[in-house]
Amino acid sequence: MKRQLSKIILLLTLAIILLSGCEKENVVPQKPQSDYFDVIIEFFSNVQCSLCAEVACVMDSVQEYFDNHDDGKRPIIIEYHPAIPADDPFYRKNPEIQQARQSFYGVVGELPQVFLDGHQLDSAVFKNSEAIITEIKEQKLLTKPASIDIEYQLTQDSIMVSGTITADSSLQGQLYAMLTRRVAKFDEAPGISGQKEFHFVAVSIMPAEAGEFVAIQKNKTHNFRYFFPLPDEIIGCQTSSYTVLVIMQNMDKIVLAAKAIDISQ
Amino acid sequence: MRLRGILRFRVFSQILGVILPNAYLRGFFNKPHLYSGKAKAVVLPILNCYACPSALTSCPAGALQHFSVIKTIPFYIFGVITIFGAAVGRLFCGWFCPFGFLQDLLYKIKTPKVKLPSKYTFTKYIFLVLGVLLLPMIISDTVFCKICPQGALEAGIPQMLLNPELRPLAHTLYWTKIAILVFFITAFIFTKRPFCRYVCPVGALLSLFNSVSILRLTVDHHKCTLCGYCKLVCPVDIEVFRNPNSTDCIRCGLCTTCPENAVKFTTVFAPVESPKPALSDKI
Repeated sequence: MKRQLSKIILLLTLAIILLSGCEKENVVPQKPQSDYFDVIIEFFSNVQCSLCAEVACVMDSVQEYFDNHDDGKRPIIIEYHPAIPADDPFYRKNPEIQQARQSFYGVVGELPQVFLDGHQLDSAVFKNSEAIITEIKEQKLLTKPASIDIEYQLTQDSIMVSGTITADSSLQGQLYAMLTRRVAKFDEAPGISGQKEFHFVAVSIMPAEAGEFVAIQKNKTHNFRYFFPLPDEIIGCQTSSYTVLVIMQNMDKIVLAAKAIDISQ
Repeated sequence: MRLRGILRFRVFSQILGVILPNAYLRGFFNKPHLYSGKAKAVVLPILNCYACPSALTSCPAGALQHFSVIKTIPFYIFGVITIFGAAVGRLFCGWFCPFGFLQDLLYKIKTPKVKLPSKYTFTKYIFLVLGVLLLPMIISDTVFCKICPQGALEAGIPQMLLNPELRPLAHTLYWTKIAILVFFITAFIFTKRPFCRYVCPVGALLSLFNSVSILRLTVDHHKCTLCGYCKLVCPVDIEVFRNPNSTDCIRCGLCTTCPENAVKFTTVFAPVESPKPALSDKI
């Protein structure tokens, strides 16, 4: 009897230990209101490119315009730094994401290059803030076939981003989650462009450079969860917090859904 | 004399098992942080928490859970475990695992000892299947990491000590984990390697290879006198003369110090010995 009891106690203890692992952590994921609408501008730049610094100013004025008009929401802007004409501090720190998007869009030759919801913009458009604002407004009126809902959990060394994509029609494409630095400010200009402050520079891409293939049926959802390790700092550069962007694109590079949220630290 | 020799050599190897996977001491100093370099992609077949500030390598149990959460087949981890397991079985548990070493050390404390039934060592497979593979997939959470006493010891406690901003996050789950650690630490003093025998999912994975691994233990039944010495020195209470390649065997080699020289390490390539006499003939 005593022997049976000790066996029961042993098994019971192990069962309790195992079940206690199912307890939920009390860290509640944060689901902030997004400050962005679902139009995405992807800007290929480099610290050695003087024209890029000018386009960066145009991007800033675009942000400023949308901050002060309509509902105060901005388009999602993300900046990549491919090694054109040479590598720069952002490329050296995170070459994978810069190369991934460069090869996705086939960006070669010269910079700057700008893509609005996957479509390449003419230089006459992206150098002119009024022209690009008009393009963005037109794009904003188009309804995307899917919507994304994101929440995040910030820990000491990582950001866990999870969420759901809901499709209004059956669709398939690649899903990417990207982490950007909202502001990266150098004490001294790192390149000949003289630009010291950079906004929304991509620092990480998940789950892989090629994204995750996702196929969703009409009115169905797809759940995702990615862990971003917090990136290393760049020497001589002051940085602010992050913005996370989740984007789904089909093989024709058309943006099917996009969502961005700011991470508060 | 032979026992002392093998013990000394094994202790040296176990100390290396503590130091080498935890050599990133910078993680403790100057704004405590976790190492995230290339070595973190290396998975060693030992239970060593990768959230420890000094951890250089990754824990297979933790990594498996992450793959379960994202519902992806972890070919790399299964490959690593298969390579190590097929080569040496659970040798890493006995010679390199820091948590196994802790259990060996605490068991040396002189107290009355308790024997646990060997019949229930199958529970480690339940921890492997439920805690590491199925539950993380179902509830999208790293279930085993939350109860892992090695995680509490190497990561939970140091992280709380080093990062004051984490302290407000310590609620029921954290204290449950600490309670589990205290429970096991106490158990280590009174009984032989209870964690390895009943809980460890890494050991459970490696144990699947014990009976087929290249390195193996063989018993010369002509020499064996059934004196019980092997069971006495065995850190996991195996009757080596009955089943030298038991799934619980951690290949520590202490039984090879058999006074009759009946137990030895061999390989699958060694010539097959003459058939063993029935145990009943000897008893």
